[in-house]
Amino acid sequence: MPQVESQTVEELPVEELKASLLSLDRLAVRRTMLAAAASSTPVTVIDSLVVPVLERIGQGWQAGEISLAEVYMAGRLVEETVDEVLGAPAASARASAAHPKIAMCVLEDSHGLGKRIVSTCLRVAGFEVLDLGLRRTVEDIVEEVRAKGIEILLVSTLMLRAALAVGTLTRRLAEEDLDHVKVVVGGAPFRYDPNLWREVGAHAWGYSASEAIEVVSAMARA
Amino acid sequence: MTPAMTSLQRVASVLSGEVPDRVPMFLSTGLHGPAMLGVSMREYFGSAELMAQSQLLKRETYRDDIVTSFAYAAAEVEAFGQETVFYENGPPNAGRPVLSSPSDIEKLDVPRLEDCEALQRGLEVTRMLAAQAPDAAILGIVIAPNSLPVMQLGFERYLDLIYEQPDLHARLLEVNEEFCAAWANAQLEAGAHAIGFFDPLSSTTIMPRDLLERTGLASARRTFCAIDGTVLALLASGAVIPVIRDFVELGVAGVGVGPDEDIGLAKAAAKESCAVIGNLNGIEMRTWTPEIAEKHVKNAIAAAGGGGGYIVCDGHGEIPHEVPHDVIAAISEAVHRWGHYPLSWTDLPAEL
Repeated sequence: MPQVESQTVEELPVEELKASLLSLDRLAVRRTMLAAAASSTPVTVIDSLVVPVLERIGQGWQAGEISLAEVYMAGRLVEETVDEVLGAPAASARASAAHPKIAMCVLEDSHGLGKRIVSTCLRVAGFEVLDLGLRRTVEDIVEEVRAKGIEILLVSTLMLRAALAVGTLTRRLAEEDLDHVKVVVGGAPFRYDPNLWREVGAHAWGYSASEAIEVVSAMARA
Repeated sequence: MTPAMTSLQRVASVLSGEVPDRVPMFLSTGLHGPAMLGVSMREYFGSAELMAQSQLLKRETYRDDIVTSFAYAAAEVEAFGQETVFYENGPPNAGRPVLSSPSDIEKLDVPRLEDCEALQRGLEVTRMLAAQAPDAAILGIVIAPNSLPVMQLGFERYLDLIYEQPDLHARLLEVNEEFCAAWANAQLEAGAHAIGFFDPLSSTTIMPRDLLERTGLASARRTFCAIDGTVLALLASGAVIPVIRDFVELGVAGVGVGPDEDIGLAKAAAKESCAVIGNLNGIEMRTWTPEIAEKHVKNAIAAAGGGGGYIVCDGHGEIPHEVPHDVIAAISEAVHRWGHYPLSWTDLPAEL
C-alpha cells in the first residue's frame, strides 16, 4: 500500500543529512534516513532528500568548498545507507519507470575514482548503471554498447589522451550505426577546456556527479 | 634594466626572494621530446641520451630557463615492481597497482634506487644536463609519499585506506618517505639544483583541511627534513592558496599554482615568502593561437611578476604533446618581450 506523504520537500532535512555525511557520522546519517523513510515513500526520500544532498555536495565541490575525498566518502556512505534503510537498491524504487540502459567506463587507463563517484551517485538517485570497467579500448566499448543495447554511455577521464580518445569513440559509434547512443563525458580535461566535450562529439558533459544526475535525468525524460 | 643573468642565476634569484633581470620560465615540454627527435615514446623514455638531448634542444629552441630529468610519474612505482603502460599518443601511465590489497603494505620494503633502471636513467639525464647545460637551472622531481599511493594502490583504495586503516596508512607513508628522500637526494647529488615535490593530494581540492594536516602536510614535513636541498611544492592543478602558508612554514622556495586559481591572489597569499609558479592552462593551450598565448603570459606577468617571486609555467607541470610549437614559441617570446625587470609597462593602461 502506498505510504501517505506527510512531509513537504522543504521539511526533509537536507542540510542535516549533508552535514552528517561530510562528518562521516554513520549513526546520524542512518537516523535521518530512517526518520525520512518512516513518513515518505522511497522515491520521495531519494528525490527530495538524497538527490538534493548530492547536488549540494556537488556544488560544494565545484565551488572548492568540499574536497574530492569528502565527495567520495559521502557517496559511499549514502549508498550503503540507502540500501539498508530503503530495503533495496534505490534503482528498484524506480523499477516501473522505463529508464534507458546506462553504462559507464574509463577508456584505456586505471583512473577510476570519478567513475566510482558518479556511478554511486546515479545509483542512489535511482538509476541502474552498468559498470563497463577500467582500461577499456574504444573497440571494446563499441562492442559492449552494441551487445548490451546501451543508450546512455558515460565516460570518465583524467588524462587528456583519454579525453581525446572519446572523439574516436563517438566516430566509431557513428560508423557502426550506434549514433543514437548518448555519450556523456566528465573529468579534468573537460573542466579545463570547456569546448572539449563538443570537439570530441559528446552529447553532454558534467562537472560533478550531481551534474551527471541532472544530465542523465534530462536524457531519461527526453 | 637589470644586468643579464644566466638561467641558473635568474631562477636562483627568484627562489631566494630577489628580483632577477627577467621573469624566468619553465616550459614542461617533456612529452614533445619524442616528436622533436623523431623517435617513439617508448624509445625516448628508454634512453637517457635522448631525454637529455630533447631538454637541451628545448632550451635552445625556446630559450627556456629550467631543464628537467623528469620522465614520467610511473617511473617511481617501477622501483616498487609496478609496470608502466606506454602509449604513442600520450604520457606513460602506471599499470595495475603493485599493492593488490592493503595488507601487502605490511611486507613492503623501501626499494633500492640502484635496482630501478628508470630512476638510474633519470640520474644519468641529470648528470648529462649538469655537464652540458651548466648555465641552466636543473629541476629534479619526486612524487610525494602521500601521493605515490594513488599509483601503488589506486585512488579509491587509497582513500579507503586513509579513512579506515590509519596504521597501514602510516606504515605506507613511512616506506614512501624514506624512498622519496633518497630519490630526491640522489637527484641533488647528480646535479639537480632543486626538487619539485609533486603532491596533488596535498591540496584542499582532494583532501579536507583537517585530514590534510594529519596526513599530507605531516608527511611533507618529515620528508623535507630529510631532503638536502631546495624544494618546490607542485600540486598539479590542485588548489594551493588554502595551504600556501603551510608550505611556506615547511620551508619550500616555491609553489605551483593551477589554472583554477588566480595567480595574483596566490602571489599575495605567499606574502613574498616563496615564489609562485604557474598557471597557464595546459589543456586549453592546445587550442590557443600565438596571440592568445601572448595575452595569457602578459596577464600572468602583470598579476604575479611584480617585485620578482614568479616563474612562468603551465599550471599542472606537463604541457600536453598536442600543444603546437608556435604556441610554445609564442609563450617564450612573450616572456622575453614582457618579462624584463623593471616591469614598468604594468603601470600603463592595458594594451591587449
